[in-house]
Amino acid sequence: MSEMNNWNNEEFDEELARMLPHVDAPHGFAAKVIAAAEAPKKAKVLAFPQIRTWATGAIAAGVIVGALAVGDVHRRHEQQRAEAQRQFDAATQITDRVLARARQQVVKAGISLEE
Amino acid sequence: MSAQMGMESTEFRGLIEQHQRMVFSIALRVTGEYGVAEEVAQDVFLELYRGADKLESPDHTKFWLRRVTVNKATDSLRRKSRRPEAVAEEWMEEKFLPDGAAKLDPGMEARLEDLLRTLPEPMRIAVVLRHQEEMLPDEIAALLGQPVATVKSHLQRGLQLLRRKAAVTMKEYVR
Repeated sequence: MSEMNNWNNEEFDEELARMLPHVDAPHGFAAKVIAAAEAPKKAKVLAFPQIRTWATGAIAAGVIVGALAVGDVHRRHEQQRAEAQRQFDAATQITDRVLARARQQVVKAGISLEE
Repeated sequence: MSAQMGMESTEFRGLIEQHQRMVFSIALRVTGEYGVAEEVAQDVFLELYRGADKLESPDHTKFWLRRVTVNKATDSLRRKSRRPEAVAEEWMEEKFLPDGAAKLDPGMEARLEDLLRTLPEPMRIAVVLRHQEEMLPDEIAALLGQPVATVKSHLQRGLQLLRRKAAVTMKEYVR
């Protein structure tokens, strides 16, 4: 090899080409790549039950939340119905008392209500 | 290989065996790290596996492999903010030399590999494709999607830098 200081472009090109040969890939490289290429197919098969489990859990949670919400709405409706019934009963009692008092006053005044 | 993989995978294995040294060598000299180069090479072949039907000829396949390898290797460098000069020795052991390769002065060769790693990325890629892959500047330009003048400039400046550094740092190997 000539002195590096004196290398011209062509010599240096040749030296570079000689010094940059292809190197071997790591041992078992092809097998690793083929295994990795196959892996997604297996992953899909394995992933499906995981997705199904996850989806089942989500659906179950949704049903529970829905049931709780429906139960809550039903309870509120029941409370409102009971309150309305109580107010109706109270109003009916008041009306009955007022009517009874009015009847007494009319009778006292000598007015006949028999007709 | 399993039987159910069929013909496609037989072809795939053939393509790996045919091109793995080229792909791995480009990845190694661009990234400068053996493990990273292996990951890059694996990604390249997995992408080939997914899209091999789009490749029309052996030349097209080789062109595609070189381009994707360079792209993935540079992406890997940027992602890891890694400079290839960080790791120098591990893959220069004699066991990685191809069978029948000319026996070079290992010290000289290692130093040249070191110097190659100190080149800026565009110059290093151009030098690797020119001198390792023996591609012409216009082929490199087509592969990288750059003007030929840019490639020639990277080559010229890269070689100048290498020569200058070699002259300073490799005197001990020149007798």
